[in-house]
Amino acid sequence: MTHEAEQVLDLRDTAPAEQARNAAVAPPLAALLELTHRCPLQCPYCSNPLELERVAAELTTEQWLDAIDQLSDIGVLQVHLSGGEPTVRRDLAQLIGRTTARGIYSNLITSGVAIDRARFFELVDAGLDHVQLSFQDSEPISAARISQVKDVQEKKLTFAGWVREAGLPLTVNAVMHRQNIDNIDAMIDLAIELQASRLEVAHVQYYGWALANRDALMPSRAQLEQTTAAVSKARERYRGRLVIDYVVPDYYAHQPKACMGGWARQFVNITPSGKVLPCHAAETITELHFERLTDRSLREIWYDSEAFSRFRGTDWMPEPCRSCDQREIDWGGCRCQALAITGSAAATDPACFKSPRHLEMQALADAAAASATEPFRYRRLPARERN
Amino acid sequence: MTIPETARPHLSPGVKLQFDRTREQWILQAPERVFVLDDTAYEIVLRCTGEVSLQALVRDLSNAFDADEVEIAGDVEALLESLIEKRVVVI
Repeated sequence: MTHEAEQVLDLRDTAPAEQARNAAVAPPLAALLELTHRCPLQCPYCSNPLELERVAAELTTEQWLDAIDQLSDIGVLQVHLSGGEPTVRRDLAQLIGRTTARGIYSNLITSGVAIDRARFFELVDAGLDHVQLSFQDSEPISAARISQVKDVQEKKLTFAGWVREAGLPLTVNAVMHRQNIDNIDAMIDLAIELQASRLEVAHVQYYGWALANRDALMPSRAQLEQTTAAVSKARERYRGRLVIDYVVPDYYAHQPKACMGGWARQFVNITPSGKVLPCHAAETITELHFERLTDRSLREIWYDSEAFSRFRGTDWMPEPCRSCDQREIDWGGCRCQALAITGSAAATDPACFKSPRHLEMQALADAAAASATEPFRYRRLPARERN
Repeated sequence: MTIPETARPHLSPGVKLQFDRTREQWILQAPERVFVLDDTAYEIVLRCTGEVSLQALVRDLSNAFDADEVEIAGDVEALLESLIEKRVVVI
C-alpha cells in the first residue's frame, strides 16, 4: 500500500472535477484495515505510527466483522487487510469470509513470513482476491538487515510460490530508499521471476518511522533519476505483462500528489483499536480528534465528524491553493507532510512549487541524502508486547 | 498493437465484473483498482468470457444494437487494447 489511495480509472468522459462538484460527500471506495500492529519485521520506514497500538487494545473478531458490515453498507468496494502483519491474527480467514459474502474485493498486504501453507490456503478458500507481498530488497543479506528477520527472503519466495499455486494475482511491493535503490533492476527482475502481474515501486514517504530515519533513507537526486529511467524502460519492455506503479518521493516532486485521492474523499483507514482515520498517518495531526468505531458508527464518522470534514474538498484551502487550477486534481496534497515540514497541517503542501516552503523541502532532501548513513532506528514494540 | 480476430479475450485472474449497488453502476474490480464501466464498456466486457472470438464478439454486438460492424470493431478494439495494457483483460 502506498500513501496514494485507490486509483480509480473512470472510462466515462465525465471530468472528475465535474462529478465532485455535482455530488455532495461521496461514500468511501476503499478501506485499509490495520488489523494489528504486531509484526515480526522491524522495517525502519514502517507506515505505522511511532506509537504502536497494543495487542490488548485490538478489536475482537466480532468487532472487525461488524466493521466489515458497516464498510459494505456505506459503499466500500475494496478492503486492504494490513497491519502490522495481518496474518498474525488467527481470525483472518473468518474476516476474509465476511468480505467475500459482502461482495467486497479483498487484498492481503503481507510480508509473507508469518503464515504456513495450510493457513494461507484457508484464506484462499475464504475467497481472498489478491495478494500484495512486500520486499525489502532483491538481495537476501540486505533484506535481512532491513527487516531484522533472518531468512526473510527465502520465506517470501516460498510464500510467493503458494500465491502462484493458488492462482491468485500477485503484486510485488518494492519499497525503495538510498540503501536498496541501486538494486532497482534486480527488483524488477524479481517481480518478473515471481510472475507478478503488478509491481509497486514505492519510494519511502517520510512520516512516522521513515521520518525518524530520513537521513539514513533519503536517496540522492541522481539515484531517483536512475530509478525513474529504469521504471520507464521496464514498463516498455513488459507492456501487457507487468503493470508498474511508481511513487516518486514528495521531497523531489514539483507538484503534490492527490494524497489518498483527497482527504476523506475515497479512502478510510481503521487502526487495530478501531480508530477511524482518513489516512494511516493522520494521527500525526494531533490537533484533530479521531473517533473509534466503539464510540460512533462508521457512517457518522465519515459524513459528520469534525476530523473528516476538516480538510475535505477545497473550502479549507489557503492561497495559493484556493485559486489554483489544480485544486480539484491534487486536493491540496498531503496534510501530514504540510505539518511535518511547515508546522501547520493547513499550510500549502511544500511538495508544491507554489509553496513558499518548497525550496526548504528540497534543501532538506539534499541534506538528508548527503548525510552519513546513520544506523537505523528500527520499528519496535516494547519487548513484552512483541509477538 | 492489433488484436487478432481469432483471439478470445477474457478477464485476468483476480478481475471481477460486479454491479456497485451504492453508486448504481457496473464496475470491474481489479487488484487495487476499480474501473467504472459505461454502457458500451459494460456490453463489451460482459462478452469477454474466453469462449468467444473477437470477431464473433463484434458481430454479436452489432446484431444486438443494430449497429455498423466496422464502427463497433473500432470501439471494441480501443477498449480492449486499453484493458489489456492494464492487465485487466488477457487474450
